[in-house]
Amino acid sequence: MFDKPNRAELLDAALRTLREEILPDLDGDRKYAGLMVASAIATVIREIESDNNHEPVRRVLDHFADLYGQDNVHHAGVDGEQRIRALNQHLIRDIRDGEFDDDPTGPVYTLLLEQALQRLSLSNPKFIDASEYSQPSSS
Amino acid sequence: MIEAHRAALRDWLAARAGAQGCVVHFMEKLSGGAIQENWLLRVEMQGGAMPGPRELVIRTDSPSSVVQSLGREQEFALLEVAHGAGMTVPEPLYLDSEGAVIGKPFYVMRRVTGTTNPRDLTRDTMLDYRRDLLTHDIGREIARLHTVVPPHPDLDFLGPPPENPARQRAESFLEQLDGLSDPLPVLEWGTRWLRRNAPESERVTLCHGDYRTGNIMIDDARVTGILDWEFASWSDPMEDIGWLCARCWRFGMDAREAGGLGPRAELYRGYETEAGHLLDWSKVAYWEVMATVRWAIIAHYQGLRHVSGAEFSMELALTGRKAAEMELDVLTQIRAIEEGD
Repeated sequence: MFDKPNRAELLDAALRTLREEILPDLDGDRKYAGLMVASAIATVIREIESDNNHEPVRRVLDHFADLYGQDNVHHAGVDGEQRIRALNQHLIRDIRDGEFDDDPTGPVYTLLLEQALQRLSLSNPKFIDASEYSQPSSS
Repeated sequence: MIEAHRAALRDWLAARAGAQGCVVHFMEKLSGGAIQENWLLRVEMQGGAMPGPRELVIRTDSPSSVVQSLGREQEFALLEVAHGAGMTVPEPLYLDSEGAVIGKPFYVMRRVTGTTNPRDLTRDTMLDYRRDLLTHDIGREIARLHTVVPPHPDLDFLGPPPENPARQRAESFLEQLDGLSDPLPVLEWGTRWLRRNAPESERVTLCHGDYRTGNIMIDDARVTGILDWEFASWSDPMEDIGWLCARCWRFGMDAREAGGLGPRAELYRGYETEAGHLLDWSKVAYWEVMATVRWAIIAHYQGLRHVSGAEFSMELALTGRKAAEMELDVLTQIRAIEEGD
């Protein structure tokens, strides 16, 4: 449907050009703006590349199954993304109602950690390894 | 926008200062400040309360503002109280609460020199010779503010002091989470933990509410002014300490636990020096969790401000995505506390 280079390849070319040919000439606020643009492009590239990887969704649904049972997970929606969203809506109500008060760092923690790590693997993978905060931090 | 009101501003300044005349030599919007706008003015007054050349700063609202933010009139009152308590702040001079001069409320303060830029302040080796003393001073500064206790005749707008500041703050998160369209289970879980573990407060004092690197003006490794008062409230003084020390406000310089600027022990020592007695710091870990959940919720709202079209900003857009980093910190911090019990 799309010509070559594809979406990710075009963005990758844009990112390399920005980093290698434009960013070195910038300083101060403009360099900061440039770094933010690079960060945004890198995130989008990671998201595009993850589109065909169904493993992360399956792992989150498995953790939900540990908490709510396989049947409830299956009936939560027609596809993985929809199921996760519906199950998270359910989860936040249960958390607020105190369903996990007895064991806050038990199975619910494993599920929360998995989801947090998956979002970070797209937005800032460095944070997972080095707990390194991304640009920007609001000044 | 403010430039269009230059003549009205000049005449108003002269009248307030009791000057025979005032010339505005220069005005420029200062960078930073996602919620408010700051304008630098170089003026020259003839006679009156502050004759001669002066550098002033005008503070007013930015195009879109955020939840829970105090108005300019209230911020002005807070600056006056903080100044009176001996805290290093830009001296507040004049207030127009009506918006009659430039079309929206604003106030004028003396300019303080230096930088608030967290990236520079946490990394500049020129500060290294004085980082311990600087951090000590930052402890002393906030201790001065925390001498202000309710009730205070000029701070009625802050409302009555909360019986349990931690529980009240955590419960305010519920409404904020309900205002976000996406379910955020980590923050819901963190908020639940904060509500269930809310400590009793030994004292309730005036708290800055955003006391962190980025709001502390520093010049040559010395504090020149504590800025950005729009989140002040009656609270537990440990809330200000937790906010400053939370990992998400160290700007990547984790080892310097006081805001990425210097050692935590110096902050505590400076505070105790000013307070004149030792304090129990054991609740700061709780308040650091509070800080991380709070900043994560704000980050989600900042992302929405961009997405909603209220304000275009690359920084706001990325801040929305940054919330995931704070969420992992919430999980890590609470587990550490639970396992330490």
